[in-house]
Amino acid sequence: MAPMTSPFASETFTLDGKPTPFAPGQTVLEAALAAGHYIPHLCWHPEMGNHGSCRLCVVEANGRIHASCALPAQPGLQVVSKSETLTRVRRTLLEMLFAEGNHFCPGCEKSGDCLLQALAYAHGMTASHFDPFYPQRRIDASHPDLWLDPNRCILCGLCVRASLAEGKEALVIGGRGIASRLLATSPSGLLGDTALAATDRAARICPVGALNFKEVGFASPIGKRRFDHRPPEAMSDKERYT
Amino acid sequence: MATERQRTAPGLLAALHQARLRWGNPLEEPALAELSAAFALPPGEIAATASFYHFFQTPPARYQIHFIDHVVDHHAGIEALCNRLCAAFAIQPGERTADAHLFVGWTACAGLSDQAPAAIVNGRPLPALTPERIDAIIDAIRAQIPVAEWPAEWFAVANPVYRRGPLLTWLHATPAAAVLEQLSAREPEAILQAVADAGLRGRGGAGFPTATKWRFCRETADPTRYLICNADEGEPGTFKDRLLLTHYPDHLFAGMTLAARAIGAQTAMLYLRYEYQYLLPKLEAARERILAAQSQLPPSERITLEIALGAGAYVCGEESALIESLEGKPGRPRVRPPFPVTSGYLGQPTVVNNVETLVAVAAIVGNGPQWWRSMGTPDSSGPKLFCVSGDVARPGLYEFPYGVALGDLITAARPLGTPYAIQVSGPSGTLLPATPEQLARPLAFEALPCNGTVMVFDERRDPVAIVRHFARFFAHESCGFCTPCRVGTQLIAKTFAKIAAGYATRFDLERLAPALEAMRLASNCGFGLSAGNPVRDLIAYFRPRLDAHLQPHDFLPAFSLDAELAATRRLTGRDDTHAHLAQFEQPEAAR
Amino acid sequence: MTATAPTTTPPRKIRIATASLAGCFGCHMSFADIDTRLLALSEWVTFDRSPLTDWKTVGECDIALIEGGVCNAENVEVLRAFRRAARILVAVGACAINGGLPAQRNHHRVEALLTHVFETDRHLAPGSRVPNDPELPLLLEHVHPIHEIVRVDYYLPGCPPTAEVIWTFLMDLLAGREPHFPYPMLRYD
Repeated sequence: MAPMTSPFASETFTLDGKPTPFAPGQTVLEAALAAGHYIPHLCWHPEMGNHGSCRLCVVEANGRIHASCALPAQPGLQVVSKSETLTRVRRTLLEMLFAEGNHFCPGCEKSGDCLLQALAYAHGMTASHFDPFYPQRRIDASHPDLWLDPNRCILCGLCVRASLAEGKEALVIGGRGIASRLLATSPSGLLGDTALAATDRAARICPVGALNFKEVGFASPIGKRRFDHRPPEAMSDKERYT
Repeated sequence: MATERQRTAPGLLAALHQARLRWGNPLEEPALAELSAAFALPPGEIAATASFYHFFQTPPARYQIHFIDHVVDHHAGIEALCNRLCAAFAIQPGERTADAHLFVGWTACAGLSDQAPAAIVNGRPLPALTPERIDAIIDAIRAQIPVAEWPAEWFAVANPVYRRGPLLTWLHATPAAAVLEQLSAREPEAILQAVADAGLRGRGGAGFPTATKWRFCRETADPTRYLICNADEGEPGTFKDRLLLTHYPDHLFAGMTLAARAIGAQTAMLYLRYEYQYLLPKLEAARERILAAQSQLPPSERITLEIALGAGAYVCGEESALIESLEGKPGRPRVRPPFPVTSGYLGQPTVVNNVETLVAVAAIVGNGPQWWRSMGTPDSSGPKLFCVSGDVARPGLYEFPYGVALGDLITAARPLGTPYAIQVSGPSGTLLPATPEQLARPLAFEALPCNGTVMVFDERRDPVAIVRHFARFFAHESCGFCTPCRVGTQLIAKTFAKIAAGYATRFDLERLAPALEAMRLASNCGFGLSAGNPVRDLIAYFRPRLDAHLQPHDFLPAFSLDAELAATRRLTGRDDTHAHLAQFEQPEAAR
Repeated sequence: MTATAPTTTPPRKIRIATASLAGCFGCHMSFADIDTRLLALSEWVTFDRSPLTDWKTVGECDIALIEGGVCNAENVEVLRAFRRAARILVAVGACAINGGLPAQRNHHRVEALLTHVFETDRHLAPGSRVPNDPELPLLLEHVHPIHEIVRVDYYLPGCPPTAEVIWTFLMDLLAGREPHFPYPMLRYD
């Protein structure tokens, strides 16, 4: 699933003025990343593919706005990924996520390792201008090794997809609209009653501080954390993704 | 794979409906265990689906009454009626009586705008409510009379038609048997060609050429295909499909069968909105007749017909969300591509057509494409059913050819006062001022596109309050999948709540602007892309009315500062000057 | 890094006022961490009401730096006074921006919190009551970011924002530039 520039890639589309090769079946986002051209995203992941929910990866293609994670690369496609409008839209989306959840960074052990926070920095977001929603969803600490703060969840579905891929289906997104939330699939609805294990891919893939390990936190001092000095854009896949 | 979509579980919504009847709450044992075992899904997946649909949230009660939270119903006095009922049982809307007998809540437009104010009891419509009817309902509940024994006239939904054209005339004059005869001797290519020659475009609102959609599906390599009829008529103010489903179900199933044959589908499914479940017996009977009529055909040419029931989710009118719902999942629109024509129901090529479109197919096959093309405009051929509601003397259905001027349609409905604002195509359409220029615009895909819904508001109505109703509707109905729509619909609703509270300033509109932009540009489906339309139109056409609601202040909090001190005042018994906060400071001079 | 200072001395000194609402004074400490550059700053700016001057009222000023969220009635009054007085109002630090740590009480009703702390906690003497001295500001039901109460012109994130961030911001403003923080300088923690 990892984006690779196929040796058979012969056709190109135009990305911010540059001819960009793509392999058959690749999306614009995958081809762009393979070519070293970063487009911001939260819910796309090299192991899990696209989800289409965060909408940060929007680009303008042939004059229309698309999520590049879902847009198949086609020869001759004219794609703009950097523009004043797109940057503004992405910053607004980030501000929306910050207002929606309880993203209190000083008290979050994911701070410095959080993709949401890093992308907000990279977009020059000094604050969410919207009034905060202050959600009050119950924290689930029933699991011996993990705990879930749904107030920090951005509904990217990465843990859901990872768990599904592992054959466990431990998590699912339920509810509707603003009440959408991560649900444990056990009869009790508790994480501790699912088959989710600390060694699962699903337990380690959360890009924000929603699904966390117990008894670890603030392991790296400020200045030594993943996103302290470089934005996701300047990183390799290995560094960028949890 | 494109999403984290749950495994498919066709029939789960039906099973949840049954479980609710049997157990009350399907998310409690033993119902949950039974459903989990029956569908081989973890309990959480059942909960995820159940928690998505409005009517699965109602707590078990003998009498479950939902008043219609739609602007037309509000103008008709629904709130007072709701309060009258609630007061009789000392509950608030959204609550259940202590003895768990009665639940009263709100729900979105149920396709009864021509008979507002209305409500739903245990899934059955209660149109044209009056204070007297509410009192009678209160008596019936107090006397513990089962809903099944309530007087039939309380549930009588009329289908007033004030203008018939060639389509309704043909439907009325053509007996079901004659329609059934068409079913044999029709080659797929001939059906498809007739629809192409007629220039039929989808009646649901998007206006995609029907034959083109069919051809995309028909040309896929996969031989297992589906035809789905979208009877999830949820756009507030819309009730045209209700007429067709009530009076012409044979014609509809005939159209579905013809369409299925044209695309090479073996199965045709009707997805009916929950609010129309009272039509199920009629639809089942029609389905049986069409199945029987097919029995003369060789088995390979017979089309299986199925009916599925929704559970209260406006967004399921979006075709990919409808497909998800049929698959037993939350009705979240899919990320496209792939499109349903190549990968739809259960991943198979699927065409989703609106009720009116499929009835049109039967009419085109019956009368020939030239008959259809002779009506309407070159780009918007054929007759169209329009539902007019609001401040008119004759709310109901009107058949006009496409191209009719907006003003002519409204005049036909006899406005009560002077029309002031017109909502075309429902909340996700366009809110227009009733100026001569706007009223002269023809309703057609190439001019003023219209799915058939027109709401008329006269000068008594405040467009700001109208938009606030729509904002609440969108916030309630957003599926929550993508960021801009999930959060943006909330931000709009909060802004309009602030306006209603009298605390909004120009700054609030400035701050909302980037959210509207993100919704309009970055949403995953048509819902989010258009949910900001009412605000857009309010600003474009009714700015003075909007400005009249704004305070001259630099900025004001969205909440009452003084009310936020109420708890600590109570605790301390204080009432001195420092125990209060003024909401309004003196307006500051412009910077 | 150090932002470029204004090249010319402004015709008059820029007047700055600062306040800590529901905060911990950490942001003010961080401001003090500008250190010897405070001397340079004093060339261009003068302070109105601030913990530095200990003045009790705020006069007309150019820039108001507000630390902390809004948790009580007095916070509202002070914040409004600063908003009226200042041309540019700046939310400084996590608490001013999103309520911060004090806002974590928003998960509870204020009545339940006060009753527990002052009346029903088992360590209290019998008959303990919630204090009702008129000198004490009444708590609001929720803790609010300052942008829920007044219009805010700029936000300086961080818990606290570093001295570098505050310095860069002031130098940008003094030089008439739109404040800008390069990636490593922008921090929410």
